[in-house]
This record gives sequence, structure tokens and C-alpha cells, in this order.
Amino acid sequence: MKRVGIFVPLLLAALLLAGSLASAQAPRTGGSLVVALGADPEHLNPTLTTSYPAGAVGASIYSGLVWLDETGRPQPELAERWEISADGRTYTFHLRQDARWHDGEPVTSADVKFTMENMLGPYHGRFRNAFALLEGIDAPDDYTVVLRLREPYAPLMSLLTVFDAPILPKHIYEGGNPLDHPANYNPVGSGPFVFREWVRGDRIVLERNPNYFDEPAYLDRLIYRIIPDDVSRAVALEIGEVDLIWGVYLPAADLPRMQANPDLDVWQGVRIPALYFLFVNTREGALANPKVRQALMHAIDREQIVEQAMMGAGNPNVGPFGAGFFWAYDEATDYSKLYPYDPAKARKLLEEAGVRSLTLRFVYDSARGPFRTAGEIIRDNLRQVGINLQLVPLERSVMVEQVYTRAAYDLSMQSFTSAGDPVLGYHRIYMTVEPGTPFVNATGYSNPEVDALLKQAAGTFDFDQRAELYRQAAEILAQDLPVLVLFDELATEVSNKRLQGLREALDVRDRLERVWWAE
Amino acid sequence: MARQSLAARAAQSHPHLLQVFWYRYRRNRLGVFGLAIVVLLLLMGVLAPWLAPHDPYATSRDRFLPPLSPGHLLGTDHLGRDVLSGIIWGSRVSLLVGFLAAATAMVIGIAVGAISGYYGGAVDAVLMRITELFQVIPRFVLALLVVAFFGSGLGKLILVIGVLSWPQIARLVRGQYLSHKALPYVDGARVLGMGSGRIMFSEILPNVTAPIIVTASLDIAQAILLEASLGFFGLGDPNVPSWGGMLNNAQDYLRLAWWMSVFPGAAIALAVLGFNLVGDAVNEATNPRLREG
Repeated sequence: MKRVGIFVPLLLAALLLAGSLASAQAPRTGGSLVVALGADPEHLNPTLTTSYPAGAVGASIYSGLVWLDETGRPQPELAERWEISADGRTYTFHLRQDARWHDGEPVTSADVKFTMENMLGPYHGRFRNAFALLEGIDAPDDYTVVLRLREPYAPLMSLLTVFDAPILPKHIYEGGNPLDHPANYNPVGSGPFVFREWVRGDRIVLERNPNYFDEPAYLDRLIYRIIPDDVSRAVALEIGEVDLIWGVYLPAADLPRMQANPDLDVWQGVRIPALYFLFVNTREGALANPKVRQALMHAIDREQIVEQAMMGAGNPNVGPFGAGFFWAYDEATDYSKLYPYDPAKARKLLEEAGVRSLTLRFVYDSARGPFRTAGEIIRDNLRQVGINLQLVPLERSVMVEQVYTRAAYDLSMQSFTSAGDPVLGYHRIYMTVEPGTPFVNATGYSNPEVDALLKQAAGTFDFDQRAELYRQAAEILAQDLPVLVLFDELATEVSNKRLQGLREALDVRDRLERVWWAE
Repeated sequence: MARQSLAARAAQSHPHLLQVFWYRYRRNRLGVFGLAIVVLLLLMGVLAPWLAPHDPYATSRDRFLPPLSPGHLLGTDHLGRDVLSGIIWGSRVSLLVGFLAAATAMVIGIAVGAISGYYGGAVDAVLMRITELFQVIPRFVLALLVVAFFGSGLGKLILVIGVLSWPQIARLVRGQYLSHKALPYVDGARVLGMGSGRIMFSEILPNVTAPIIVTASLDIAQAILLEASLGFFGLGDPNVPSWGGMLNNAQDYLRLAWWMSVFPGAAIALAVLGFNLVGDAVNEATNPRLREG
């Protein structure tokens, strides 16, 4: 890294040239894209499941009311425009009149109302929370949908995408039981690709929808290859059998090799932010003292964890709400500035707190490899400041009971996805909760001030106003440290170098119709 | 099998027979080689704190150093830990689990087998059905389940492996007792008024130790292998360095750092080989049927 000399400018020039050549090329129509999946979807009705493969395939077959661009802002899809009432409780969507189902029927407001009331509301893991806040769904005419809310709910728009609210055809599902409807295996959507065939355990084939309401896809065919084995999947990409793999299906250990491969592009960045953190059991003992928690933060080398447990796919410069939502991130509460790795400082804080020897139980889901690796690093980190860390790997359901129901832990490593909005993903980490609920605040920390700020944020639409509320909450949380936030996960995607137009949307699985092959 | 074996008699009353045993054992070159491996492993485990060049837990930024790097003879792993030190400390876990699990199996197996063989009849029938039940359970799968649901402390590992390994010994001991209980020396003991417990454990047991020792050394090898397999699947105790655990870590880096898997793998293979060779050699030296000339 230090002896590059003249090569850096040369390389940069070459890259710039290559970049401008690539972008100067006009998108071309044609070709197939082969995407690797780790497992078959259980079915292709994404209103019933939030599983990754079902969402991936569903995103190309179906449409949502809106899609989220890479900054997370809603863009028109089935809805060409919308209005939100001043009190934030009434959303009016105007649908495109040229949208058609793959069988030729028009897409209307009745489809939207039917899908939300009969499928998304009862069955969709994330949409059902918003559905509970809905007072009613009206369809005053064929191309207008009105959602009436009981109280303002800031993240509603981000829940209206093809992932959290795909719209399905009423004329096909009406009258049947959605759970075992034959159309779940032979889907009819309104999206850019039409379902062609599904060979279980091998592949799902989609073809371009020539009658798509927006610009038709560049690709002729979209093929999802089912490759359950990690190694085979990586090899398939390296020999060109597969063109694209998403990070969830890619073992981090393979990244360096992929990066060295001249035929592949490795992309890393924050998309739908996800936070890796340690819950601290603040109920009793030394950990009830914020000073001890601050000492832990100084003692843990988050950069080493990112580098070695995540193979670099993480950002340790984060605050209480990570750094993935750039509008909510505040440099003043960045933990890498407030609590840099400093064992001496940690020892001093422990001394001030009167802690001499301490043994902590580090509980984690045994199926999560990076958690164990992080635990091994943290064990070594904490040993430097005289704390003995006992690793306790538990099967997932046992872990849930020990951490969330019985609070039988000292530190517990977890990762939560934001699901596209801090309200959906991160409020639960800090808000006061009834004990026993899984995947929420397990620390016993309860601060009415923080609760009030977060509750207010959940009903505030204006990003700047919401950011100010988060700033105030972060100030408190950064001192109290009920949760030791380690890093933001970086999403990863590896693709054939000739593929263009990837990642137009917030979710990397979305908008594959914009992808094309360069010469 | 009905005759009293040499080692048993040697251990019992005539010390010079031990010399005879050693004389016979020594002639088996592979046996001596196996014994050397076992002794070296034991020394490695006992002397680990002095032998290991590094703290096996100490991480560093120098990761994936290849073997023969300065200060790291066998290289470093994905967290920059010294592989050689991990192997040296890991021998402790393997040996501990091997010996204690085999001992647990031994205690249960001898008790069940002795009672079954000595009393016979209904007791025998019931105990043997239970033994068969344990014998047909796929050991590895059950161990996997137990550890997955009840956690994986070292004590639990030993207990699980031990409890799953006793049927073989029970059946062997039962067979020995069946034949021994009809021998004159047992009748003699009975005539002298000895109780059943005393006859079983201080009269017959010393006479059947040789085959038990053979099975025990094979059991140790099996236990080491089982512990390593559990570790390989990430179900070992993460709080102590172990060969299986090292292999588990190495899986992800097979193509990046071969040394992370080759050396712990070789250590496991050597240890299992060592105990197997010792078992075979003991068997040969004590079993008159296998001895030529």
C-alpha cells in the first residue's frame, strides 16, 4: 500500500477511462441473467412470507405501489402519484391506468384493497404491523386507493414496496384460500418479468414481460439457479455459470478471492441498514453501572471485529442508531469518536467503578459463525482489561428463551435489520418493553425520556425534525450505553463485470429489469 | 477366552509377568510406535503451558500467516492466533475427553456387563435389551442433538460421549463373566462364603481386565474422534482450544489457509492412530490365540 508511487494516478486514470467508456455505452436489450439462490422459495406468494428467496423472485414478477430508490425515497410504481393529508392520517394513491396483469386483466384499486385486506394484513410478517394501524382501505374508483390511519406513522411509505406490500390479482385469488392457492406456484403478477417454469431444487425461469406498464426489461430472461452449497455457489460464479450473487449467499471468507478475480465486480455498501450489537444485561451487578459499560466499549476493538469476523463487510463508525440512515446519523454521538479502542482508558474506568475481577457470559445463536468469531475477539479484548468472558453458544430457540424471556445472560450478540426505517428496526432496541418479547430490548433498560423521544419520532414525517429527535435520544443513549453498538453491516454483491445497471433500488433484489449486458 | 490371560495374571499377583507382557508388546513395532505417540501426546498436554510458544487465545492483526513464518512455525489462523499453540493446548481437551469419556463408558459398561453376565436370567435379558437399545442409537446424531439443545460444556461433552459408548464394553464384559462364572475358582470363592459383589468385582474382574484394556484404548480413540467431530460441527466447547474447533474455523478458509485445517486434522489422525495401535498391540500381547509361537 505504501510503495505504489506513480501507479496510483495511472490506475485512477485507467479506471476513470474505463468507467466513462462503460457509462457512455447505451443500455442494450437481450441476454439472460443467472442469479444464484441458496434455497428454493417455499412458494411464490410474497404476501405470505418475508423469506429472502421468495422476496427476490417475487420482486421481478410482482409490483408494489412504490419502489424505494437507493437513498430510500419512494418512487412511483403502480401508484403514479400520491397525496398525504396534513394530519398524516390519510394517504391517497392514484394508480396507473395502463398496468395489466400477466393474463391481460387491468390492475385496479380493487386488487390493492383485496391484497392488503385478505393477504398482507393477516399474513405478511412486516406489513401486518402497519395494517394494525389502518382504520380502513377505500377504493372510491378503479384507480384510486385511500389508506386511513388511526395515528400518523412515518415509515408507512417504505412499507408499500414490492417486498412488504406486493399487489396480487384479486380475480385469481378471490374466493380461494391464499395459503394453498395453486397460483402460489404458478404466479400471475404485473411486474417486468413473467413466470415461465420452476424446477424445484434447480431453477426458476422468468421471461421479459413485453406489456410491462413501465419500460420493458432489457434482459430476455431471468434465471434463478438454486445452489444450496456455499462452495458450489462461489465456484459457479467464478466459472461464469452464475452472473450475480447477493451477500447473504456468499461466505465472507470467499470475498478476498472474488476481489482478486478480474472478471468479477465486488460491491460493498450500506443499503437496508442492519446493526450488529451487544445487549448488556443492565439489571444487576457491575453491568448496572454505566461506567462499566463505557469501559467495555473502550475495551472492545470494533475495527478488529469488522476486519476479521466480517471480512471487512462492516462499518464501525456508528452511533446508537448506526450510520446507515445518513439523515439520522450524528457525528457527535459516533462511538468510534466517543469510545475509541483504548484498553488503558477501560482499565481506568473499571477501577473508578470499583470493579476488580469480572466474569461475563456472552450468549449467542450458535448458528451464526461471525458471532462466535466476534466473541473470540471480544474475549481476547476483555482479557486485556481483566474481564473473563465465557462464550455460551445456544441453539436459536434456546438463545431466545435465555436472552429475552429469562434474561440469563450478561452480554448477548445480536443483529437487527432496520427493515428500511429506524422506526421499524431500531426503536425496539431501546424502547421499554414487556419482558419476554423476542427480538426487542432485552437489556432491562427503561428510560421514559428516550421512550417519549422515539414515540414522537415514529409520528414525525419530516426527516429533519425526526433527525433532531434522534439526535436528542442518541445523546442520552451514548452516555447510558444499554446496548454496545459494534458496527453497521455492509451489504455485499458480487457480479460479472459486464453487468450494468445493478443496484438502482434500495433493496439489491429490486429493479433487475434495469440490468443489461455490456459488450 | 476361557483361559486367564497373561496381563490379567500379571496385574494380579506375579509382577514378573508384567515383564513378560512388555517383552511381548515390544516385539510389535507398530505397537511401540503407537505407544510413543500416546506418550508424546500426554507430555504435550501436561506441559502445554511451557511448550506452547504463544497464548492460544491471543488474537492479532497478523492473520493467515503461512507455516514457517517467524515466530509461528505452523502459521496463524483467521484471528491471528498461533496454530501450533492451539494444537498443543488442544491436545489437553482431546486427551481429557478421550480418557474421561472412556472411563465413564468403562464404569457403566463394566457394571452392566458384570451384573448381566453374573446373574443371567431375567436380569440379563432386561439389561441386554437396554444395551441393544443404546447400541442401535446413532451415536453421533444423538450427541449432536444433546449438545445442540443443552449446550456444550466440556463436562457435558464427556458425559454425552461416555454415556453413548458403554454398550460395547457391557457386551464384552458380560461374555467374559458368563464363561468365568462357571470356572472352579469362582465356585471356590462361593464355597468360601464370599458375597456376590465381592466375587464379581474382586475375584472375576481382575481376571478379565486384558480385553477391557484393549476395548478401552479403542474407546479413547473413538471418544477423541467424536469430540473432534462435534467440534468440527461447531458444537465443541468454544471456551477451550480444541482440534475439532480449529477444524470448524478452518472450514471457511480451506482455499485461503490450508494450514488451518491440515495440522489439527493431522493431530487428530495421529492421536486416533496412536490409541488404536496401542489397543491392537495390547490385544496381541495378551490374547494367546493371536500370539504365534
